[in-house]
Amino acid sequence: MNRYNLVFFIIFLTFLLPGPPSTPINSDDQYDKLVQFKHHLYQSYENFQNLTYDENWQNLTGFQLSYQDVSNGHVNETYPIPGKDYTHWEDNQNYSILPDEITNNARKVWNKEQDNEDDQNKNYYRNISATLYGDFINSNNSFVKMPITLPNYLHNYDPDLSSSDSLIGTTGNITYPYGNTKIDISIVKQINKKSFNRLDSKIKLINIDFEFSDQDESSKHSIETKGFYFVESGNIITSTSSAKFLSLYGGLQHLTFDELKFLDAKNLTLSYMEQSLFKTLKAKDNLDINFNYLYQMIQSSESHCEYIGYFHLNKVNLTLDEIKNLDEELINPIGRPIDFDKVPKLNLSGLLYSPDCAINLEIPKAIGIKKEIQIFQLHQIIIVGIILLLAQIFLIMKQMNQTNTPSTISRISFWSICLMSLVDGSLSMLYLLSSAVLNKLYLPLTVSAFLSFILASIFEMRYMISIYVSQLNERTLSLFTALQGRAMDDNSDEYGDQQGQPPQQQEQQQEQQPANDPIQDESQVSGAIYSRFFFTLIVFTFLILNSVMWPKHLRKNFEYGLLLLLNSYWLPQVYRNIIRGSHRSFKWWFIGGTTLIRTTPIFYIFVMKSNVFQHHYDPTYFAIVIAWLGFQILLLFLQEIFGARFFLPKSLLPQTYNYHPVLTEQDLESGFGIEHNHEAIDDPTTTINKDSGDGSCTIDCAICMNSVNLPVLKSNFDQPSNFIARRSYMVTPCRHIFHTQCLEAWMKRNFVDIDKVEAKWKKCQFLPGAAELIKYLDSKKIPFALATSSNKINFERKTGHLKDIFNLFGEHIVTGDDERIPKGRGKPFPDIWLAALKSLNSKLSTDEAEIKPEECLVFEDALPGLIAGKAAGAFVIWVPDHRALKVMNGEEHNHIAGQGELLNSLTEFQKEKYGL
Amino acid sequence: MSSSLPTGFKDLPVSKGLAISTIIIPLVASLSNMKYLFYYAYDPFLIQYKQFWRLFTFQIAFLNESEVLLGIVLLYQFRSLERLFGSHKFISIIIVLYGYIIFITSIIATLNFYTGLKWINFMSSGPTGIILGIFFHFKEFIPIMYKFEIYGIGNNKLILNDHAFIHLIIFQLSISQGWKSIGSGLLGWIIGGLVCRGVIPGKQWKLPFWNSIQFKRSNPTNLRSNSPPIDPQNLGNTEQNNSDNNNIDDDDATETRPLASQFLDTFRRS
Repeated sequence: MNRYNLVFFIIFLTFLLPGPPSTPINSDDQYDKLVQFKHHLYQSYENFQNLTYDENWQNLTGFQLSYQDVSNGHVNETYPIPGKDYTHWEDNQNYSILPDEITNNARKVWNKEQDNEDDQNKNYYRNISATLYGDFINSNNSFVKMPITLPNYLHNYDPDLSSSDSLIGTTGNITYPYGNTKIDISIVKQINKKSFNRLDSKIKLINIDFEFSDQDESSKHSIETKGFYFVESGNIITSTSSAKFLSLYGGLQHLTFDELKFLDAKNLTLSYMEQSLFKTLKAKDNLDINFNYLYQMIQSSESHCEYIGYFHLNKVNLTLDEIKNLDEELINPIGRPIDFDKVPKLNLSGLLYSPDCAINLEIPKAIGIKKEIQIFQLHQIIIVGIILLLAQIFLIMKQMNQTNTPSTISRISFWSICLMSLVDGSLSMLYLLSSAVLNKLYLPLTVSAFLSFILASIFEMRYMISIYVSQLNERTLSLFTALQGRAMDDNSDEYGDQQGQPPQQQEQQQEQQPANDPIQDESQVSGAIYSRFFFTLIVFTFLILNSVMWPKHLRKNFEYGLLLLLNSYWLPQVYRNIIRGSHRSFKWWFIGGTTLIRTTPIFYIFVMKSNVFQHHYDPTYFAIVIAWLGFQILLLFLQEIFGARFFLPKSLLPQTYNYHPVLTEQDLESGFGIEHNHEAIDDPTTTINKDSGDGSCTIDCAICMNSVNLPVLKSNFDQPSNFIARRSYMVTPCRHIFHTQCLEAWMKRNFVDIDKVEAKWKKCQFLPGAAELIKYLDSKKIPFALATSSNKINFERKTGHLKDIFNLFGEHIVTGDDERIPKGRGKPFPDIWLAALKSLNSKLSTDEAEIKPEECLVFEDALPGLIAGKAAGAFVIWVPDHRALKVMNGEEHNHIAGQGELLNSLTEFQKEKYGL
Repeated sequence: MSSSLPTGFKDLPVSKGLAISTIIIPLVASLSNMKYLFYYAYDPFLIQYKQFWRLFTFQIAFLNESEVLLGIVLLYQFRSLERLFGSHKFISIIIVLYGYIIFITSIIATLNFYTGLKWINFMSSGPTGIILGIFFHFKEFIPIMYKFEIYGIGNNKLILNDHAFIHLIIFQLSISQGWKSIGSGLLGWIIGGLVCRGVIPGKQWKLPFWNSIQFKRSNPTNLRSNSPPIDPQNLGNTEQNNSDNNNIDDDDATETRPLASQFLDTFRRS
């Protein structure tokens, strides 16, 4: 996955995402239809203006036939039916589209609370924006279906929109007997940027969106309705509206059972139409309707059942003043003493009836909290989330600063951080998306999105890149080879053993070798990781967003599985510990803090019953998650104490070197660990209590110069009681004993990154004049040798790329670790120079006289070398670094003391002066 | 503007803390939609809702951006007063002013309660009064550094000094909430004057326990560079001490650095 693929993917996504609703092709025919529709609407509007409660609406689209007409079999007839009375209107099925049974039920719904009308302490809410949840019952009454069709001129408006007549798959044609419903009530607050619905008005225009689903949520129906809320009685009437069902033009208002309500609803609707339908004047041609509006109206006519709903909102135990205060506090908070958690919930009941699908749905009870309070609660949750994010950022920052050396960082598992980063990254995406949806929470959501983005893509990504880079040099070790018995730690020996290995393994190594050959630097790695990560992130986020719409059982299983997977972030670390054989990785405060931060949200959604996200209550699952995390942490803890591979059989992986071995008396007697500290043994403080079997021994830790107390056992028998005591000291492979703390800190501080050093060595060049001098000496057959304090391996590393010159030395190269030089006799002791001279002398032909030290010239740059050369008795040509000269402050001539010459560069060297 | 001090808040912890909190508190308040914590009005908050804590909170934070900006500019200018007085006296004066303004506000509230009147119902949110009170001290103690003249048409000329700009900002701050802020500004100015001249007590008062607070605040690197006090009992045991120090360092492996540099260090590493 390179970045080109990513760019391609993003472009692909932009095509995939839905654009603005496509405008249909505007042919002349369609234009005529639009004009006709405008005319039609205006006609209906004029009729509606003059309508009274007793009067019939006459030719209103969707309302021409009454229920009685249909029952009488006037199914295919259109307005006007001969002999029907079109001047009067009464509230029965002779005139109404509702059957009498429904009308009676609706009256019951509306008159539910008439008996306690006078209670001053109980009132209806004014602002009823809320999301309610409840059940519904599909009472399967056999009503007659009423044919509601589009006006003739609108048929064949757009071939894409025409549908089959069957009701299967029709939105709103609910077939299951019961299920869940979600009711979203919102008050129309603004029309064309002008405010609408004053807070204290008696009647309000509302939008109610219903969502019906069966128990498994595999089939969903969404119905959008518009209607009126009568504040003084708590009653609601709503209906869908479409091109075949112009309910707001008088039909719905007539169904309010009451002339007063009819007038209120009519006036409200008229003012609504004035603001929404007309551009400026109420002239005939000024209807503000475009093709899109018509298209949507027709679209909602096809394959949709029309619905009319009657609802009642129960009174709440609040006085009018309290309700007013509450509403004002929610709009403009000034800190009134209101406990939002104790604000009564909305309780809705009622029924829905579909004339054209003949479906009668009853909603006995739907309960929800006010939308503003929900937003308030969500706000609090987001603030808590911000605090958690800040805490996580702080922790990861501390943790990153703790592991800033390659040795510490290579212990950390890449995948642990990757899992965390995935969660944080997708969180930031979700925050960003919801900040676009929830306008009121824009500020906190954007801050959260920003913080989680910082956390995921800056801190955790940065950490991942460092980890990846630090682990680049490791040969990929498959689990199979690991189980065969080869740990990372043993890798250095592998080259040597290669011949002895079975051919199988050799092949494997040859395969592994080229994979690592391209040397990747940090920028390449970070580019690769970033693109890979963002690709995964996008896919993951889309998966999550998509899963929200799945059926319930699928969604639940997906959620449970995914959460368990995402909460396995310590497991890769356990594996990493095993592979690397290290017993310590993350700091314990990081492990604890991160686990706490990441389980808090899970606790909230699973254990808090009234959580904002409407997530179901399932403490058992939360307990499982906790147990799973606890298990992982326990593993890490045990690994720290008993070593990384304690639970694996010893035959699988070789034991890593044990830094905390049991010390026995035999060890002491054989000088184990103390051979370089003889004085410690002779020290009278060394007390071995021979009587009790176990004793202790005190030696000095060479780092802090304090004494280490060693528990010494009589036999090799390991006692668990000593286990913790053994953690306090460390025995290195070269048998030196230190405090654990001292040695670990020392290793941390004095760590040398060998790769970087080697890269520098590979660029070493000769100082000016040096290569020429060597070639000259070689051509003149003057014997010359090299003496360096570097050890053999490092010497090879430094000079490997300059072989053509260094080969001129032949075998006359003496390194610091040469056997000919006794231990501790390197420069400034003369031994190394003398050894080089001996090497030269040994190769002289027999007839030549041995070279004496006084006849030698020593070329040196460093002060110890100068001293060594002088001590050997040679004449030293000293070419110190100019920076070294500066430090010596003119002392340099004292150092030479007549037995040498100081040069600024080898190019100044006069061969004639020394007879060369 | 006058700039007798080096830029920045070096060694001026009180000014620094005030400036930071002037930014941070309104930011957090608006993020969490809790700005209402800093409103004050006799009616309805005290008389109806009995929220007496508002007497203590309303001076804590400015609530609109322009006031926050002006407040910070002024606090930055007043840091020369902190250098003159010392941090201890500076914070003491601020606390005295804060206390007096609460006192006067509650006296007005009591008057309102007993007379049934409602005059001076609101107080402006934010430390306008305190800033005006400090400003009195500033004028009293900080000398004018320079004057300059602006020539107009004919013989008219305008003589200004370096304090003129501060006056301008003070004026802007005082009128930013209308009568409310003019009132509390005037109140702060008068109280500042009375305290400064010694008419009402408070000039000599010092915040107790300052030294213990100061000790926590001091920079750890400063402590380290000074030679640690030698305890005679431990003289023979210095090696042990050293090793202890080592161990403490080993635990963290890094020296204690300020949060900001820790933040940056995560990117600096090579």
